[in-house]
Amino acid sequence: MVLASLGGLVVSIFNYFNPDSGIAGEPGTLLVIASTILLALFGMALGKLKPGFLRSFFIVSSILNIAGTSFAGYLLHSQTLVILMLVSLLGWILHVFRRRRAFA
Amino acid sequence: MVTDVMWTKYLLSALSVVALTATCGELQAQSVEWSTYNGDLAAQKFSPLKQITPQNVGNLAVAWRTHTGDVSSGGPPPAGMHNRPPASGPQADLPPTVWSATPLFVNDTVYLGTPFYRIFALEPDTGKVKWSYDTNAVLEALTQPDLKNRGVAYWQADAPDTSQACQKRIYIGTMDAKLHSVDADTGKPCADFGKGGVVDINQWNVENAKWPLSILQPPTVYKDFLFVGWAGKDWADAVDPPGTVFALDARTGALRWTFHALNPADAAKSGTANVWASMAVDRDRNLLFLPVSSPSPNFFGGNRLDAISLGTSVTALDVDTGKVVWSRQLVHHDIWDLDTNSAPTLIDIQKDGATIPALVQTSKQGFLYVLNRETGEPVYPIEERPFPASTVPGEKAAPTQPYVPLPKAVVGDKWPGVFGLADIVSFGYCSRTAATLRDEGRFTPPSLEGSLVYPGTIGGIEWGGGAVDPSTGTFVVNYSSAVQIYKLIPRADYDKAATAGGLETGGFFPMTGAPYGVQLTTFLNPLGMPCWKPPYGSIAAYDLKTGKQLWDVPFGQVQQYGFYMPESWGSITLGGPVITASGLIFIGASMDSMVRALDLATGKVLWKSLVAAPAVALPAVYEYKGKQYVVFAAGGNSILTPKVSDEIIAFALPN
Repeated sequence: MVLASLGGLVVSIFNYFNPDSGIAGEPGTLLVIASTILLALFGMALGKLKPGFLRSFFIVSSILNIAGTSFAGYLLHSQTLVILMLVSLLGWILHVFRRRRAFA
Repeated sequence: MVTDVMWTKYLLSALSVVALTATCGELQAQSVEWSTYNGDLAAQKFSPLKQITPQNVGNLAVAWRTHTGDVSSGGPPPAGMHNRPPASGPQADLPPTVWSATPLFVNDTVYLGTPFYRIFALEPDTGKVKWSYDTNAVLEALTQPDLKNRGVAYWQADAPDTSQACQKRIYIGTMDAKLHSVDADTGKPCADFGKGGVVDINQWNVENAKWPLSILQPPTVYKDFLFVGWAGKDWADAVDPPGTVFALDARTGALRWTFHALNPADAAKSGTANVWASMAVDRDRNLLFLPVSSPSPNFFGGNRLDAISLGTSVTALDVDTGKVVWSRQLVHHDIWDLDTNSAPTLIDIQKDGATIPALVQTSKQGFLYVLNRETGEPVYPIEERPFPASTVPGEKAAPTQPYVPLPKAVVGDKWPGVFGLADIVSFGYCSRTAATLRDEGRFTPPSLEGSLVYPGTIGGIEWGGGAVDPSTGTFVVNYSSAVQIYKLIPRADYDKAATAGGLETGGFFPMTGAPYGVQLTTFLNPLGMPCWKPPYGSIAAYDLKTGKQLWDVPFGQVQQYGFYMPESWGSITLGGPVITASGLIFIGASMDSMVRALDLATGKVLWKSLVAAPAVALPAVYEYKGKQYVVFAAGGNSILTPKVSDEIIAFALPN
């Protein structure tokens, strides 16, 4: 999840500065830059947190972030970002369910 | 290596051009050049080229791109900007640029005008600069809010003497009314034209001369005439320079005749009714067709209640004398600023077994007026229908307006209604506001409480007009569906608010000298979303033989904050289409900065490519050394989006 979100960050920064991206300098591109940074931070935090309120909060926040960033990427016509968010979703699923099994 | 198959293709292509030319006479584009703003003097925007087809258009690639450097988004002048007078003192910000120039391809060269009023001559296969010419025009927004240019014009002598200069010429106008003439081969000024290659059009600006006559649209060139219209400063005053068109000698710049749109009595109390868009010429009939704009003040006509018959009209003049041959008014007593805004497209229509010499005049009001171009009489009936009266003291709206049942107007008689999504996210702002406005459908007059106007001054159809395939009579036009609010404000209230400093933003315009100022806004919610239902822009095709609409599809995409809205919403469009003989439509025009190729038969998008800014001009289509090119000036227009550029980009099939 962290790697995919960092990939999304790189792609979005590239799009922001690439005049041929169609979304260079746009507020929407800044938004996904911010959301991918947040998602990377959430992912790193999830790796360290034990079960509890804070972890649950980050799990919910992460999935909302993934959904929102994917939708924004779709509207920005940034297919690479959408694919990376799907990878991120896969990471989120693996993390959540693997941890559940570990704690079962 | 040229194979037999290729030779066969060349032969068939050449034969088809010859056949089309024979069928359509002088109206048909004669070559693979793009020698005027509209491709040819008939404003058909049609190319006989067939190399790029619906089957291979998906392979189109960038052949070359060039940046002129002449672009401003409203900030300080670019570093190292070429020498020119400072704009209102040193280091002043430049106005933003609006670049609607159709490139020309003629004399084996691509010619361009820029919004800094420079001419560029480019190699047609590489985009490399052959030469450039700088008018050194003052870069100030003297009449328009932006620095604007719609391109250049080309003339050549009937029998060019290659030993002499200026046998072929390029012309460019400036916002401060200077018309420049330079040698098309070298870019050197033609000394015999006016004074040192420059004619000051403002020398003929002798009545109500409140501002210079801005030459933003290139002249229309026919025989040895330059037909010069001009743009002005709308909505500021009640009385303005009266509309004129000047016919100049192409060699010397001497004035041959002047067309006056207003009689002296009307000129004393009104103004404009000028020709700011391109014109068309019927070579066979020696007629010049003018799209005449609305008179001033634009939103109140109480001071000009007498009929101004040439205002908001299409008018035919004798080329040699400038005398009016016929004129048809499209809006009576125009109080909506529904300027006739593009050259009519000339086309011979096969109808009921007869060939009718016709023209199609598109309009902001969304009607397609199909007229006999010899007489001005309708080919399809035009009805005088009653429309609402004005409730504004001193105003008297025309009791009837010309109404075109066929071809079907591109926009309806009623506005599309409140868009639920825009209403919900603004907590009912759209529906609440609509309930307070006067709304009686098409031609609802401006009012003191505010009127919903649909279509408004944005259109409908803008200056790109339509294109036609002369072999089939298929006419294509892009259009916008935009709702505007016109609110008149009594003079005392307006002046009081202006003194208090509250009218710098918000769409206020003084119409000084009239008893009312005006607030003109587009009907948006506080988040900037249109309050009316999409689509906001579309493209449609008509069969001119029957007047029937063939197809009508949303066109382009709205882009806000970088986010692309659904394709079914379409986009407001500025700029027009061109058609090729292979059955393709090429068009920019949308706010998403895409240029597209569409299937003429269905309107389906077959190819698209991102360019640096919206391409709000017509593209040019030409062939050079056996290769077909499609060239767009991607300049942008602040009406669509703040994104501007100086990019000229050519597409072609890979080798």
